[in-house]
Amino acid sequence: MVAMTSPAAGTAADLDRDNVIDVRNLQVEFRTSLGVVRAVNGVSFGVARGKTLGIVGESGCGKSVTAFAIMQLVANPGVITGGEIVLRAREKAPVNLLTYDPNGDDMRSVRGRHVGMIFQEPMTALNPCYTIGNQIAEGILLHRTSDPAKADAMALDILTRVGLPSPSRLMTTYPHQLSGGMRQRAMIALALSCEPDLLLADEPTTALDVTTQAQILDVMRELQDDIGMSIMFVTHNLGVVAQMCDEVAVMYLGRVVEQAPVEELFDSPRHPYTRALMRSIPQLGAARKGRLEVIQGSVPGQFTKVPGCAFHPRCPDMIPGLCDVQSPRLLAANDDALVSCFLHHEPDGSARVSDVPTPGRVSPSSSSAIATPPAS
Amino acid sequence: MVTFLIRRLLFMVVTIVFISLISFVLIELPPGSALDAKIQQFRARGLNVTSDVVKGLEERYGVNDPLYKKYWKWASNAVVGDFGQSFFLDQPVNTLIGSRIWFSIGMSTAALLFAWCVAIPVGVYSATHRNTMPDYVITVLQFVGVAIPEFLLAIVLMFIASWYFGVEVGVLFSREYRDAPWSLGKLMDLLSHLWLPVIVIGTHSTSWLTRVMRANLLDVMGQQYVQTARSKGLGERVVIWKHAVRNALHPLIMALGGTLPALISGEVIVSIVLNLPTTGPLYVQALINKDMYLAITFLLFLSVLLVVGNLLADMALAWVDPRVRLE
Ligand SMILES: Nc1ncnc2c1ncn2[C@@H]1O[C@H](COP(=O)(O)OP(=O)(O)OP(=O)(O)O)[C@@H](O)[C@H]1O
Ligand SMILES: [Mg+2]
Repeated sequence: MVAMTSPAAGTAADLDRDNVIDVRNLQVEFRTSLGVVRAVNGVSFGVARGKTLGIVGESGCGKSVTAFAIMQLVANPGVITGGEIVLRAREKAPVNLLTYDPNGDDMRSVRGRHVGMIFQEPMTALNPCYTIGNQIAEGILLHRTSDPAKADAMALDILTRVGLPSPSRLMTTYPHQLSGGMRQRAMIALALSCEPDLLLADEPTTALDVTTQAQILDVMRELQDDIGMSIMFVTHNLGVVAQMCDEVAVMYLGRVVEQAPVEELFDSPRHPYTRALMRSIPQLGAARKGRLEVIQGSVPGQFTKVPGCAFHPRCPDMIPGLCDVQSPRLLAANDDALVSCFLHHEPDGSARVSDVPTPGRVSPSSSSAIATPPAS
Repeated sequence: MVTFLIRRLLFMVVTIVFISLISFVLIELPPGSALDAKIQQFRARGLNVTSDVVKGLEERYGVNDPLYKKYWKWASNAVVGDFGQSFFLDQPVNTLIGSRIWFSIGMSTAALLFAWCVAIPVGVYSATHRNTMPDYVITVLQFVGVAIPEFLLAIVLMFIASWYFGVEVGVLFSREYRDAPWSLGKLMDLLSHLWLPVIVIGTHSTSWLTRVMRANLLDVMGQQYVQTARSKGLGERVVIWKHAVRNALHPLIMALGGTLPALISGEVIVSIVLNLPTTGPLYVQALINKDMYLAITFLLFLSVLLVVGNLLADMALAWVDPRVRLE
């Protein structure tokens, strides 16, 4: 691999393929009264067309903020301070979304139409004052038709496709009359009603029980094939990642430290953080009394700035004089994997020749934090 | 819905009976009676009131009857619409109140509408422009509005209105309309005099409701469904007015029950200061003179207004929030 000229320039875009979205060096700050929180600090990744990218990482590492940044809907006092988000939607010329005014018509025509979003909490994601039909048709009326009757028909169609029972009755039902699983289906219907190119799913199954979770994942996969959309799937659950995703990006403290195809990540995680993450998962059949492995140290405070690699204070393989001084860049490790670590790249970007310790394979099917049915 | 209404109406009747009982007892509690005041009046005019006459009067008006007897006497007539006679003014309570109660109701309603029409947009603006200069100005004005006593505001506005704008204050009608029959002109004239008391009465509630609206909306704006609405591609105006404000109205409507008594007591004070022919001044006079039947009737009307207002608030709530509807 050739050395990159600008820092953090290496992204999945360099993997030479058709990406629906390319996020490059995205920076989001929260300017609070206590100081500036760099919630997203140079995130780079890409989502391949028609595929699913899983985003995993500790709580607070900036997964949700990244998703909201793609929509340009970062909550106050958050500001996007840098980077590039290139969207390559069907029926639309490629565009860097950050050149759009967040409140402008251009950005609004992307939301819901080209990029849809679903959230963790199905209980609060729908407005209690309006019927399901009204809320779905509202988006359709905005992007697809101006005829209310047609919009209702389309809303009914999508409600049927997400597998909700008696969809015509649901059209006039209010959210509080539905169970959590049904609401999440309704929410998926809402997000997919305009057949977006990309779906941002922020922990869509975390609040649901295991059976419902499996059903929701099935529905998402089915509709993904139907519509031909890509999914950015944020989750804590590596079992779900194994079932759902084609690729995984691992985030740590506002950066992507590794992106790789899902089998590759589980088989041979490259970044020390990913490896630690894999080891901290409960193993079926492992000795009951054995303690779970914990990643040593703790996440530094929100306002502290760690020099060098953000993970170096907790890294077992830290190279003194390098990792605590320079920041590694996210560079290609092979044809379809990227890693940001000096154990894999020299500071000049060339591949490191010395052997890297490779841990044993971690089986994905037994590795979920919550028990999940086996991948179908 | 129908059973809900019937249940509520029954409950209202019980409440009103209960309130009338309590107010009856409370008005009776202090020593002396309206008759004493009346006798004082006669004596002051130089009439010789012998103890026989006093006794006769006492018997006639039933002053020394036990409380329950008095209450029954009044209540049994009240249900058929006869609220008795004012001791002090020597007129039937019905005539006294009938001519004034509509002004009171009208003024309170107008003040309520004024409060809502100002509080909602201002509260929304304040919440959506949080921590900006206009928000700070609005906040300061709110605190002033809540803190300033109504009589003071009435006097200041009265001064400004008559000094700078030459508006005739302290009346509801201009001279030419005062005894004229109702007409469009008379109505317009009434409205042109009504704005000042309405502002005075409504200021307190407006300030308070603005505060409530701002806090509610800020709360709602943090809800997930507001982000959902934005993620559909809706414009900010639709997001706020259709998705956020409707949910933020909920506590505002519930606050209606608390706003009404404030408006009514405000109306009493303002009418006294501005010398308006509403029920307010008459009511205070009746209390001072222990004018039993007049006072209790006022109290009863106020309670009915309150209870009806609460019912209306509940119905509005059911209309705004589908979650309330089904219970
Ligand atoms: N409104 C806000 N004000 C200040 N800081 C914020 C705000 N929202 C997020 N942050 C900061 O951004 C960081 C990333 O938050 P984010 O919600 O993206 O985490 P996450 O990775 O989604 O975590 P989780 O897995 O718990 O959902 C947090 O550490 C937090 O400090
Ligand atoms: Mg999150």
